[in-house]
Amino acid sequence: MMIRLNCQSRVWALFCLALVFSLPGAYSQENIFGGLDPDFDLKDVPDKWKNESAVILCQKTTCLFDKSYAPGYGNSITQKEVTRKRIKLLDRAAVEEYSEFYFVATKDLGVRIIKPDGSIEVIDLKDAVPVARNVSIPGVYKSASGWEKEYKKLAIAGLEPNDIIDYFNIIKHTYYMTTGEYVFPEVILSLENSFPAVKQKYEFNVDQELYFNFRSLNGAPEMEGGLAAEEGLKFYSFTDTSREKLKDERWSYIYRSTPTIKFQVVYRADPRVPTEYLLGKAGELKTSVSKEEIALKANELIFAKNKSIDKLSKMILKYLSSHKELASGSDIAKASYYLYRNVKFTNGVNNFGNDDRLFVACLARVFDKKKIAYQVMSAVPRQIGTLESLVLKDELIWFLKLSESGTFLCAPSINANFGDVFSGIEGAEAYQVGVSKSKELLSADKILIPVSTMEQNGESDKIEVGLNPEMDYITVSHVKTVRGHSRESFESAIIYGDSRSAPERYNFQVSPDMSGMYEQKRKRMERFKSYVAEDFDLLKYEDFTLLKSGRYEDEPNIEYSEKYKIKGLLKKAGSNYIFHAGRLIGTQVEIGEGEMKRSYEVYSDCPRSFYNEVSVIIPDGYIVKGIEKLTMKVSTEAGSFSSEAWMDGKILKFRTSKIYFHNFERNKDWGKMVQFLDAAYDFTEARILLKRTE
Amino acid sequence: MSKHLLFAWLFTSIGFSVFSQKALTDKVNVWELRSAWPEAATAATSSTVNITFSRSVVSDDSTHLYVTQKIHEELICLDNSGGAFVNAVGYDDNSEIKSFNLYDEEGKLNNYQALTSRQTYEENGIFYSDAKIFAYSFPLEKIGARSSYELEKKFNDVKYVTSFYFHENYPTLEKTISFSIPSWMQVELRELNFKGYEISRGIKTDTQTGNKVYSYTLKNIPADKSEPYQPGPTYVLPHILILSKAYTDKQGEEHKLFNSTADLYGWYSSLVKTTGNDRNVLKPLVDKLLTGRESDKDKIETLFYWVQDNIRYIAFEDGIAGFRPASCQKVFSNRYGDCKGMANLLKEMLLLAGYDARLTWLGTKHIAYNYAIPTIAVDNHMICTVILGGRKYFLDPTETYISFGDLAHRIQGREVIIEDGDKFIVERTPDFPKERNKIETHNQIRLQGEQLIGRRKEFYNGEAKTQILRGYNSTKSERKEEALRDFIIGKDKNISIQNMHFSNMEDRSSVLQFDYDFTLKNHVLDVGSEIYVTIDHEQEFKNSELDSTRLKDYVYNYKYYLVKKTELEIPAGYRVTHMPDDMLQVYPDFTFKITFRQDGNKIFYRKEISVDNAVIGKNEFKDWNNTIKELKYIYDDQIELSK
Repeated sequence: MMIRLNCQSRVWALFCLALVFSLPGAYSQENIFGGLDPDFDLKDVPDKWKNESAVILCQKTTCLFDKSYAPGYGNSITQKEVTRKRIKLLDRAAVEEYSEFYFVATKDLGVRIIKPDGSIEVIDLKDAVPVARNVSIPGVYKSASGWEKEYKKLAIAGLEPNDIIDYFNIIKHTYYMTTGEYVFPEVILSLENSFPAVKQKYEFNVDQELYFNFRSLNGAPEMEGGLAAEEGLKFYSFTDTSREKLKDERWSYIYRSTPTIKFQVVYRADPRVPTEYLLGKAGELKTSVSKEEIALKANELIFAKNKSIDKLSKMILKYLSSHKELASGSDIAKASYYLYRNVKFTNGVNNFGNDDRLFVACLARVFDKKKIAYQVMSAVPRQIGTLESLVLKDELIWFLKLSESGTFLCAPSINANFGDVFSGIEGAEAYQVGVSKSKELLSADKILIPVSTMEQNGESDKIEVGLNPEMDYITVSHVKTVRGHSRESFESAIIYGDSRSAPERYNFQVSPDMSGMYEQKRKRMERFKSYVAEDFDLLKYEDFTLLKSGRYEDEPNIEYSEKYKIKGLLKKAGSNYIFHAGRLIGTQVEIGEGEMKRSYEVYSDCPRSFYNEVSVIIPDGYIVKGIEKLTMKVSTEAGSFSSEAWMDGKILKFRTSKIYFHNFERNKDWGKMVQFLDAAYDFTEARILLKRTE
Repeated sequence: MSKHLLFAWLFTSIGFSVFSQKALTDKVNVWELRSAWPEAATAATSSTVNITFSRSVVSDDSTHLYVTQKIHEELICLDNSGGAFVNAVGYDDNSEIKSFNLYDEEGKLNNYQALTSRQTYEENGIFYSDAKIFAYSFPLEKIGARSSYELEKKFNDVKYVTSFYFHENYPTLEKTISFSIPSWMQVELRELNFKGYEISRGIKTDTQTGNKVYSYTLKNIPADKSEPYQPGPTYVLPHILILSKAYTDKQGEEHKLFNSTADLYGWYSSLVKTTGNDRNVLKPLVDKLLTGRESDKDKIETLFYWVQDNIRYIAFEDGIAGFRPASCQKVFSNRYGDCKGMANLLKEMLLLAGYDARLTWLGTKHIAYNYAIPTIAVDNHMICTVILGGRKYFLDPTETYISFGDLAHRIQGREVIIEDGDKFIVERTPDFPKERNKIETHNQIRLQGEQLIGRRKEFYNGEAKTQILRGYNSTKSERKEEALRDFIIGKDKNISIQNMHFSNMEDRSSVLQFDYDFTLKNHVLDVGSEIYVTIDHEQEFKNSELDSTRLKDYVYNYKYYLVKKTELEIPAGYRVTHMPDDMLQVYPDFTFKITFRQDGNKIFYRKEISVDNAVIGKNEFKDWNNTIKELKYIYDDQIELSK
């Protein structure tokens, strides 16, 4: 499991694997405030942050991973994290935020208030009360792993603007090792917090018998130290200063655009036993992963011994042997892919950790048997990082490439098709590991995963509109086609609820329980009805028909039709009507005034295009005026919006296209996106006049 | 059996009856139930709630009164969704869940299928209370599947037994609530909201105990559907209020409980006496705050606003703390408190300043009762009353940014009891007219191409004003300006504003004002010979049509009163060829008036909307919806200007 968080929500994530005992540490009552820590001498807010709600003067996290051995108990690891924060609260909003203080119930805590005159008030913790289960814990206090369930909260007495809240908490667990490997959760965190920080410091004391992976990126400070400290520990630290706060910007990947660190600590009893983790040497900081290591991991993956792989690959092979018509490599690969998808969403087969690893191992075994040449691929999703910054096992996604056709095979989602590439790795570099027939690795090369085209992804809508004689509502007949990665947001609506009733061409004869089909159809219709209701004043939703589920490679698009009546697009103007025609293309992205300034790079899944073809039958007795308002054209280097409108007899026709050219734009080019997005928005505001002629 | 279920079984089995229940053999037509209640996943075919009053002798001069509530419910599954029946019963430090038993269709004990848990429960706005829930769930997966369960709850203090309702969040075919009352117990069963329900009553004597058993039965009870902006349940749902008036102990001596409001006040007052106030702690602060303050109004205002601004509302309602105020020095030192603590602190500060200040109990508008009913269910709030020159001023320091003399809608027109030594004063808070909340906007606009440009002034009073001030002052500093813009123009990308001025955002006593220039896109259509103008882009109440199938009145947060005036300059060379119709709809609870007038080269648009009593009753829905339809018709119409 990977933990991705930013500093302000950072509560140490603790886990225990099935065979590892976790015991809470003693209630330690360490007097963190008593020590004179020069890092916490800061009291003043820099002028540039005087108008902020609050400023972190200093925050410091000290992590200890200490292995020990005791007769009768064996090996154990004590994990301890001490977090201290000193935050200057500058306004009432900040006071409100900190006046109800939450903390993990079993952990040590100290809270004190430093008044502007320098006097110190220590908060009495005995008044802390348990937090009820029906209350959601504010993100700033929440345990990242979700493992910690019991929280307490405290009403902080006497807090006022310009006070400094100074608090620490200590989380300490001792884990008794009963397995050969124990893995502390991976952590990725942004150094930008919800408040700006004058100084933040991270310290690690890691036992020299443990494995420690760490990487800083995007301008985060490099780790320093590595010198042997007391009792077999090594000490590392870094200090970050004058860090601006995290910005809330749409289409941003914060681990790509903000200073970020990632780390993980692993215990291994025997370094000779293969591990799926990307480890260096015990006692040494590992900050990168070589292609040779990836090649080794690929090798270990495809020859892994595991019952799920055995069972699933045998099922597929059995199916293939009873379907002799599946003779070509391509046919076999397709059948294997869809059979995997079928069993994944009908029975559930995953007890091999990540689904991508099971998928690769299982299909590799089938391909080996069927003598289909393939390569093992691995990449880091763009949302997290790059191969260059790779340092943690779960950053990687594994997939396959068929050598002959070059087709990539990624672990399928419920609606994915043979050859669909996970959008998150498009445009990313990947390692390609060749496997010889003698099961020996050939090489690990870097290749670039191609980015799909704007035409491959997106939506096309055909909309036929009729106006009722009383001109108080319109009837809409709508056919939507969804292409490529854009299908992903429709998947859960198409196969609603019970995946067992999803249509399949290849299956294991698992007899799905079809009793829920009617219910599923009803709920699906309700769901699509709700989509229309989000965009329009819906009078009546009359029909939904799924024309194509998009679940086969020869019919890869989702296609459905619907009919409905909506109100609100016709407005009376004396004896004439104003028709809000632009609205028919649906709600468009609305870039608010506050969004014009952009700090982070602009990321999205893929290039994509959205087309609308609209026909409106104009009732007798009316002519259209102002049709030119439906014609627009804006094109920039980032994308385009264009529309054209014309009369075809009594039918008003217009078509629009909105295209995102890329899956990435520099922040300096944000304005180029805003231009065409604004044009699309403006189009939705375009109106025409239906002028009465009689 | 999974480990999980095993634990559940162990937990729920403790102290349970080992006897089977009767099998659920009565014929129930599940399809009829489905057709009657198509949205329900589960229905109770039978539900009985038996409430019994008991006593035990603690010592010669002490008797413990307690009440047991036994629920027996038979359930049937109405759909095939494969789900479970999930329900919960509340309890607190004064009550406990004694037992829970689940039975299968055959009437056999089936506790291994039940999952139960006891959890703390946090009510909205209460930081901590002793409220807990006993949650229970068990499978009811296929249409027609049946189960029954028994649950026993014990109230360890009779004054906390207040009311019982018929409605659940699932439908019930038949429900009987019965009260077994011994001759030594004086209880009044007050029937409320029974009108419109066919509730049959029965009285009999329990031959074993000699108790009188009063029973109430209601059939075909739909699920209590939560509707947005609904009145509190005490207004609408039939229920029985328990007024425990007195009991006689085994020595034959009668002891009063809450026989009258005086008894209720007596108990409240006894708690206040144990608050342990030390007002001297506050003296330096009060002296400092009042330095240079001359008038009574100025002094009272200063203290009232200080508590509003400096004491955060954080409520602890843990056991008796739900009724006894925290001491003034504790609230002062903590800088937080609940309504009682804040009222008590303000009272003590006012006393130090030489004013006649008193604690005051009341129920907010959420509660239908008044002090003619002696029960703790009658109130849920405390404020401070200051008596000055024979006039009573009600001060609620939990309402931040409310001005002296003003009152939040939720406590207007409410009966209150004001402390008066051993006696009490019953009063009623003022009920302000809609004008208290007046919002007025003035627009002067003209056309510039297909844009409307102009200047606008906005004036806010009452509830809208306090909400804006509250929102603004609790927003992070760096977001304040943006938040204000968001408030003014909402999410409408078509408007941009410039040159904004606003009044002092800390001043709660004056009218709140904004004025700014604005540019509005996409509300003008120019087709050459004609121009069409939407003069009112905000179109308040346009989407306020009420669902005619709604079961309960619609309750607004406060009385609403809007006056909007717009002057549109007619561009040179154009004449007005069409204006939308005027509108005048006046009803007892709401008014909509719209006029369009041309005078010279200007069109004067005036709109007035009021929701006079903040409630649209079910019987008014038809008139309301017709009015909204007419309003939409006018909003959809345009001003036509022709060359």
